[in-house]
Amino acid sequence: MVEAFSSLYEGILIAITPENILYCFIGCMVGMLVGVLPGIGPSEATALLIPLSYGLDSVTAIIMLCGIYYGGMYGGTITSVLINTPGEAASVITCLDGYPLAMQGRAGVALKVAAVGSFVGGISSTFGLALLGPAVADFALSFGPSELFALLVFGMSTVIGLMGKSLIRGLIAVCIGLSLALVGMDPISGTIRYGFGIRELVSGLDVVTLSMGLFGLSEILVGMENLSVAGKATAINSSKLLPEEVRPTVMSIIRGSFLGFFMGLIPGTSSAVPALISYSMEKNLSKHPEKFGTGVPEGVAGPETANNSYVGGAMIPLFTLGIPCSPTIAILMGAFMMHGMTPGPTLFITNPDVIWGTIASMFVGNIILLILNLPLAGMWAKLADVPSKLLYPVVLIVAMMGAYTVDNSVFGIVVMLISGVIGYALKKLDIPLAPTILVFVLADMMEQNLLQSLKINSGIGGLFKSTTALVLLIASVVVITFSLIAELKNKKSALLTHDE
Amino acid sequence: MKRVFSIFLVLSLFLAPLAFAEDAAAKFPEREIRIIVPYDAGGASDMTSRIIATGLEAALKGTVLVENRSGGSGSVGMTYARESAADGHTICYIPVELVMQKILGISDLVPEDFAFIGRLTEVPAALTVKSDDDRFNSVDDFIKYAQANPGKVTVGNSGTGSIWHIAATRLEEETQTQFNHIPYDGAAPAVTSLMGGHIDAVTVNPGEVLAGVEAGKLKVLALMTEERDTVSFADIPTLKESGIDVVIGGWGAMGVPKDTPQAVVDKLSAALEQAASTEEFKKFIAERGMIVHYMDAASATEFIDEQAVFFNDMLSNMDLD
Amino acid sequence: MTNQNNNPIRKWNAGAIVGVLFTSCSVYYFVKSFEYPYRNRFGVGPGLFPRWVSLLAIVAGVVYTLVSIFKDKFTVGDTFPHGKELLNVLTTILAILVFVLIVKQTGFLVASVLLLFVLFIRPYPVWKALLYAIIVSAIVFAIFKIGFSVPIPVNRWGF
Repeated sequence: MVEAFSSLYEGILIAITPENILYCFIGCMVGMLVGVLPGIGPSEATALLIPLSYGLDSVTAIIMLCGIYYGGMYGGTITSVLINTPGEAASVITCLDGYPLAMQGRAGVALKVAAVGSFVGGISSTFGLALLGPAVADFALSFGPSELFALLVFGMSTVIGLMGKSLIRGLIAVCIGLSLALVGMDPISGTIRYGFGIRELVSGLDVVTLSMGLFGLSEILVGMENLSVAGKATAINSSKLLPEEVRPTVMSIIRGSFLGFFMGLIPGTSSAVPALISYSMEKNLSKHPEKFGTGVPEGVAGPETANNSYVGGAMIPLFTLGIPCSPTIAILMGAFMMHGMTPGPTLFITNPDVIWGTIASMFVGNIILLILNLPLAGMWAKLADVPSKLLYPVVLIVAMMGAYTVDNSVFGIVVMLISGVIGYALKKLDIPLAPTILVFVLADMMEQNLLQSLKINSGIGGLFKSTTALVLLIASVVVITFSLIAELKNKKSALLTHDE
Repeated sequence: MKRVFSIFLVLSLFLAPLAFAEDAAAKFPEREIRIIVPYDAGGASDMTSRIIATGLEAALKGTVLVENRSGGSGSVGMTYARESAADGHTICYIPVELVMQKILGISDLVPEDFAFIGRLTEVPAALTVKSDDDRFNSVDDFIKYAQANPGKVTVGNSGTGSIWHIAATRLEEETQTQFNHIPYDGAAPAVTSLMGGHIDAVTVNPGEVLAGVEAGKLKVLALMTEERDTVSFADIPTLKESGIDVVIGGWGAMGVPKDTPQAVVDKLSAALEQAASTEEFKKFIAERGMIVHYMDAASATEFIDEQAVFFNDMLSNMDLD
Repeated sequence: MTNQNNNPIRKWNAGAIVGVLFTSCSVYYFVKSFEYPYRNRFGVGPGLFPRWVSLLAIVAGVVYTLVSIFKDKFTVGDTFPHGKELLNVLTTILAILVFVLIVKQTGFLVASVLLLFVLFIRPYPVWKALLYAIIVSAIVFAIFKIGFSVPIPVNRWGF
C-alpha cells in the first residue's frame, strides 16, 4: 500500500500539469454538454469524441476521454431531472424522484444532491481503485455465469419495489419489458426471435431509443396536449434541502458509494444495476417508503452516487486484468489501445505514469465537475422555466437526432416514436414505466447467463453449487416476499387501485 | 426568352451536382470514413481496426473513425456495411466468419457482397487454460483428460459458429474427444470466465489471453499454427508438435460494398497497404500473437473465395454442438 | 366537442379494451414462440424464454382485463384525451411520422423545419413559428453534423 501512495503522488504530479488540467476540463465540459443532449449518454459521448484525442499525448488523451465519460454522466442527470428523459439506463432511476422534484420547483435540490453524490461516489471509488486495486480484482473474477444470473435475479426482485400502487399493473409493465427484451438474436444459438424480417431488429432493440421514447417522448406528448398551460414550474425555485432530508440523503450517498464500487468490479454488469439496487435499498431502509416517487432527495442521491462510484470500481478489472466490465469501459480500453497501450498488469510496469496519471486525473475531473455543477445547478433548473411551447418541440427534435445517432439510421427514430406512443398510453393507464425499462435491461443479460450456466453445469445445479449464487437467490426470494407483503399491507384494495 | 432562361437555370441547378460525380474518386475522401467492426470493442478485430484507422488517416489525409456494431457472429456489422452507400466512406473489417455465414444459417452474407481492399492479418487459435490447473500441464494431459471425460471439459468460445468454436471442434475431431462448448458474446467474456475458473479452457486467439498470461492467471498449452510463434509466445509448442494435425485460425481483411467505384477501391487499397506496412502496425500485431500477412485486393479476393470453399466443405461434414 | 356524452366511445371501459389488446398480443407472441425450438442440440433452446414469458403475459393480461371489468372501472373518456388535446397529440405523432418518411429525400434540415413549424404553429404567430423552426433546425444541424460529424441525411443539394 505504501508504494501505492507514492505512485499516486507521482500520478497527481502528472495530473496537475496545466496541460492535463486543461484537457481534463475540456473533456468534462464537452462530456457534460453532450450528456445534456437527450439520448446521448456517456457511452455515446465518449465514442463520438475519441477522434478528438488522436493528436494528443497519450496520458493527456486518456485524461480527456475519462473526463468526457464522467462529464457525460453528470450531464445525463440534468435531462433526467428536468425533462424526464434519461440518456442511458442508469438515468432512468434518477428520473423517478428527480423529475417529481423538478415539478415541485425543487429541481435545484435534485441537481445539487446528484452533483454532490456523484462527486463523493467518484472520489471514494477512485480511492478504492488506487489503494485496493489488485486485491479486489479476484473478487471480480469469482463472478461467473451462475453468480451473475443470481445477481441479476436479485436486481429483478428489487424492481418489485418500484411497481407502485398496483401489482397487476406492475406485472403488465414487467411483461412488456420482458417481451421487448426477447426481440433479437438468442444468445446461444443465434436464432433470430421476433425479428419479423426487419434487419434492424436482428440484434434486438436498443435501450437508449426505447427509454427516450417511453420516458421522453411520452412526456412530450402529454405536454403537447395543452401547450398553453405554463410549463411545469411553480413559483418556488429553491435548491435547499429540508432539514429532515439531510440525514437520509447523506446516508444514501455513503451506501451508494460502497454499492457502486463493488458492483463495478463485477464483469458483465452495467451502471443501471447499482443505481437500481441503491434506489430499492434506500426505499426499503427509509422511514417513509411510500413517498418514493414523489420527489425524495435520497432517491436521487443514492443512485447517482452508486453509478458514479461504479465507474471507479469498473476501472479495476480494466487496469489489473485488462477486462472491460461494461461497454463504455470497453470504449475507454479501445482508446488506450489506440495509443499503443494494452490495459493489463504489464501496463503498471511499462507505463505506470499513464495509469497513475489517469487515476489521479479522476480526482481532478470529479473536482472540476463538482465546481461546474454545484453553482450551475440553479442555472440549469431555470431551464425548466422556458415555456413548454418552445421547450418541448426543441427537446423533441434533439431527442430525435439522438435516436438517429444510435445506429445512424431513422429506424432509431421509428423505435422512439412507437415506444413513445406506447409510453404515452401506459402513462394514461397508470402503468409504471420504470419496471419496463429495467426489466428490459436485465432480462437480456439474465437469459444469456442462465443459458451459459445451464450448459456449463449440464443443468440447474450450478446455481446451487456456488455459495455466492445461492446467497443471492435466497436474498431475491426474501426481497420479493417482503416487498409483496409490504405492498399488500399498505393498501386496502391491494390488487388494483385507480387514481387516488 | 426570360422564361426559357430561368427554366434553364433551374434545370442546371439540378444537373450540376451530376457533373461532380466523375470526380468522386479524385475528391475521395469527402468526409469522414468509418470502419465498421462487427464485434465489441477490445477484441482482436477491434484492436486491428483501430491501428489501421490511424494508418489510413495518414495515408488518406482524412478522418477515420471506428464504429462497433456487434452481434450475430459478425452478421449485424457486416450486413450494415453491405447496405451502406457504396462510396468508399464505409469500410468493414471482414473476419473469417464471413465465409461461414450462409452455411451456418446465420445470415445471407457471402463474399460476393463485398469488394475487398486487402487482407491484413492471420489470427491463429491457441488452447489456453488456467495457470494453476494441475490437471493440464501440457497438451497431452488435456487431451487424455478429455478422452477420459467425454462431454465434461468446458471450452469457451466467442460465439456459436465463431472460428474459435470451429477450432475447438476440429480439435475434437482429430483427437476423438468431446468437449462442452460454452458460447460467450465475444472472446473477452470467455477469457474472463476462464480466469475465474468457471470454464476449463478457451480456444481463442493468443492476443486475447495475453493480459491474463502476464497476470499469471492463464497458461497457453499450444498454438494451432504451422510453426512456433517467434515474438511473444516463443516457448509455446504447436499442436503439430504433439502429433495433432490441426492448423486453424481466422484472418482479418477489409472490404467495401461491392458496387463501390473501382477508382475508390484502388485508392483505398493503396492506403491500406501503406497502413499495414508501418512498423507500428507490425509491432502491434506481432505483440498480440497475430501474424501480419498482407495480401493486396486481388490476392485477398482469391484467398477469400478459396476459404469459402474450404469452410463450406469442412462445415457440411462437421457436427457442431 | 366538449360534451362528453356525445361520443359513445368515451363510455367504453378502457381497462377492458387495453387488457384484451394486451392479452391478444401475448397470445400472438405465445403462438409465434413455437417456431423456436424449446430444446436444441445446445441444450436449452431459443424457445424456452419466449414461451414462459408470453404465458406469464397472457395470465397478466387476463387478470388485468377481469379486474378492469369487475373491480376498477375507468372509461376511455376519463383516461384518454379528447377534442383539442387529442388533436394536438395526434398532430405531433403524425408530424414525427412524416418526418421519418421524408427525411431521406428532403434531408434533415428541410424535414426538421417542417416538423418544428407544425409544432410551433399553434402557440405562435405564423411568421414566428417559421423563424423559430428555421433557427432551431439550423443550430441542431450544426451541432450534430459539424460538431460531431454524425452522418445526418442530406438531400441532393447537400443539406
